[in-house]
Amino acid sequence: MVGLKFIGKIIKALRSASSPRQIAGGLVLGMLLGLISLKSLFSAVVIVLILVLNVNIAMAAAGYAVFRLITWLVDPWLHALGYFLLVEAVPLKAVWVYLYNLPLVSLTRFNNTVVMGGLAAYAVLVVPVFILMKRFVVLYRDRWEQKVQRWKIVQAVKGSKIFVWVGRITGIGA
Amino acid sequence: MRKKGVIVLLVVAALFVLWTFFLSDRWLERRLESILGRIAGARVELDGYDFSLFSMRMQWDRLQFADAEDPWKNLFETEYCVLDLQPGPLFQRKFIVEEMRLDALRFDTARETDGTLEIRTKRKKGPSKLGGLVQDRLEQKLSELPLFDAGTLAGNIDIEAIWRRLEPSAPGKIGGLVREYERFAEGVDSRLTGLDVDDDLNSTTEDLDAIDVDTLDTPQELKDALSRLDRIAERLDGVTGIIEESGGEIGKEIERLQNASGSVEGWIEEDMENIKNEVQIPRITLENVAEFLFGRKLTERVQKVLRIVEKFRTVSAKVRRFVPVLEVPPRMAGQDISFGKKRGLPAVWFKKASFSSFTKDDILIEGSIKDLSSGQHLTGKPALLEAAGGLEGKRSIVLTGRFDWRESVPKDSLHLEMRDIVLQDMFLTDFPLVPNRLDKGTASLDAGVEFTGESLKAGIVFLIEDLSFALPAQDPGASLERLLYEVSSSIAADIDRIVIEADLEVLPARTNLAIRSNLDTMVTGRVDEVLQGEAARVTEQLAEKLRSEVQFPIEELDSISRETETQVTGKLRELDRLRDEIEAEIEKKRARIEEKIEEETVGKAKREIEEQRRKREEALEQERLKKEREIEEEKRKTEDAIKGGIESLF
Repeated sequence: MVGLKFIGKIIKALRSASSPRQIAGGLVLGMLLGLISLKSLFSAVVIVLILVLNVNIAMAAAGYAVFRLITWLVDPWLHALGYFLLVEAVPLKAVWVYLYNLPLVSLTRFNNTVVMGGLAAYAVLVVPVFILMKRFVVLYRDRWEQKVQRWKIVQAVKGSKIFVWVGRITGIGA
Repeated sequence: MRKKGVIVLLVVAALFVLWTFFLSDRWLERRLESILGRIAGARVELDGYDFSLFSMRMQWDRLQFADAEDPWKNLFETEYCVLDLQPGPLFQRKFIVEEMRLDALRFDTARETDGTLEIRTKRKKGPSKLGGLVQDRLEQKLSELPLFDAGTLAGNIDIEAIWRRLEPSAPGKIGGLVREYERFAEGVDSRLTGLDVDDDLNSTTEDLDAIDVDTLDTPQELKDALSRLDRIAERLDGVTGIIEESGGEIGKEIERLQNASGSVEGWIEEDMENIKNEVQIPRITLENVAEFLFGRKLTERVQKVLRIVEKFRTVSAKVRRFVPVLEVPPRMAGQDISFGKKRGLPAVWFKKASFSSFTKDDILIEGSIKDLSSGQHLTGKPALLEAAGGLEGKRSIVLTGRFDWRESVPKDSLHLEMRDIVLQDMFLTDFPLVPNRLDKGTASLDAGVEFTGESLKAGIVFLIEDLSFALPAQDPGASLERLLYEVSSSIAADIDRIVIEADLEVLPARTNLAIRSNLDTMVTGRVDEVLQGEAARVTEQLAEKLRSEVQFPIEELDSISRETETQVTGKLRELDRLRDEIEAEIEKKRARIEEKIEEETVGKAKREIEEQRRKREEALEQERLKKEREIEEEKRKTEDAIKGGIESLF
């Protein structure tokens, strides 16, 4: 059920009237949500951005789900990366101390090893993911959309009531 | 920009504002109750809570802080309270109170509901270092203090009760020895009867009587009689062996019982020693009299202060630990790295809190606490307590405290000054043998307690003036009570002020308690004299009772031991006499038989030999006479011949 909903979201997003930039924008914001803790102030900011900016919300949700799973899998490495940046990277310490004592900034939980690791990973991935996603959407629409529409699984998904229901719910981002 | 998204955000913001106005108070109240409850380990209840987001002001009408140790009591409760919070630090999750005003703080108040918290903290509860070592030391000191049940002496002394408690063993032991003698006497009788030596001796006597030596004539009869005598003697030897063996065993048992009887004196002495120890009253000297008088009360007071400081430290420690640091984070949790600056903000900081409080005697105390925080190393300031109060606007009580936890070794100090305290119907000491209840008086107290890590130092000066003691209206009847009454009366008459000075030091290696008072000299001489005299009297009474208790058993023991020994030795002596008689009779008959045998055998042969010898001697005599005659004849013939020759010559 969750899988169908997820596939439906992606297909609908790819076929929607959203531009490739909006879809890629939704994906990278969702990716940020997935990489950092929801308890962080960053999450609130990102959610506001998703709501306010004209990005594809369905793709943001899909990006969150995918990268949340990836984050869970690579958590030890993110923890190690965050620990390195926060503790072992001595030159950065002054920056962290400054930020830590600023009002509100501590609420971002940047001093958490997994959050910092996720942020660092995001900083590295955001541009390539954005560009690749944009190109992928263009390519998909030009070359693969017709074929994909004929896949039995896609037919099945499109015919399901859940697909229709998901489409209505996520229609806000269409 | 997405219009729909902006609208959603605006709706969310509007809902938040509505929630702040209408619902946040109840939510925050529950949150605060929950957080404070976890810190306290018991239920915390807020009534009339109100929080204003715009003015950053928090207030409530009543706060009850239940005591985890006694959930039907409040550790403290307050009436109206208002807190002005700093808004900025809240975004850093810091609870900084710029100013706080708290009315009608009361301690140890009763609760109407159970204050037990259903979900208790999972943290393992254990004594803090202060509670551990110092508490142990004070407990030890309390146990070392003279535990003197003087109340027993002050009332009617129940000799019987002391006797029952002592359970002297000598009467019982002597009684046991008497019973042992009785059993022995019965046993000896049956044992001697069981030997059957009487019958043996009787039959031996009969056998012996059957031998009539006078009727024995022939050597054969005499020989047979001798053989029978030998057999009788052998039987007698057997009986003698039995008698000697049994006599030896019985003798050993008698010796053992005699030895046991010899221990009677030792048993009595042991009981006497126990009596002396039981009635022993600790000497009341100048060195220890103040400990008798005030040691227990003082130590218990210090323990109370200790519990207050300990609660302070425990609550502080709980606040400090409230955000746990995870060193091995679970998946997706990460590890929070702290970058607190040296002068960063602690999680909780009450910069200034003023309060008013009522003591149990309804004395109004007003004061303030400054810089009470969860991280003094961050604020750089110790918590300071100042409180003062008194009746009718008088400043008769001043309490100052300093709680310094900036370094690894916490230092806490409390200083209390009390002036013009009106004392009415107050117990000065637990020691019942001196005038201990004050009718009235005016007191002043200067007390200081310092806790440094696991050590404690306390100094107290307590002065009572214009005092009058409460003495019994009538002379008590009992002699001791009268004596003590006289002592109390004379002390009470001689004294118009009491000064008590005390120093208590609890260090890791030792505990020192020194107490002095101007009562010491008076109490030492007079009370000690009375008590020691009374102790001697009680000891003598108990000793007399012991002597009377053992007198009858000892007499009984003497009597039965004498009787038993007489009985046993008489019996054995009788047997010996009988045996000796038989032996003598045997020897007598043996001698007569032997005489007769000798007469019949040796005498006859001797006579024959004598006859032969006589005959031989007679024959020899005849021969000799014949030869003499022949010699004489020959001699005569020779002489005649010689004569004839001579004559022939002439």
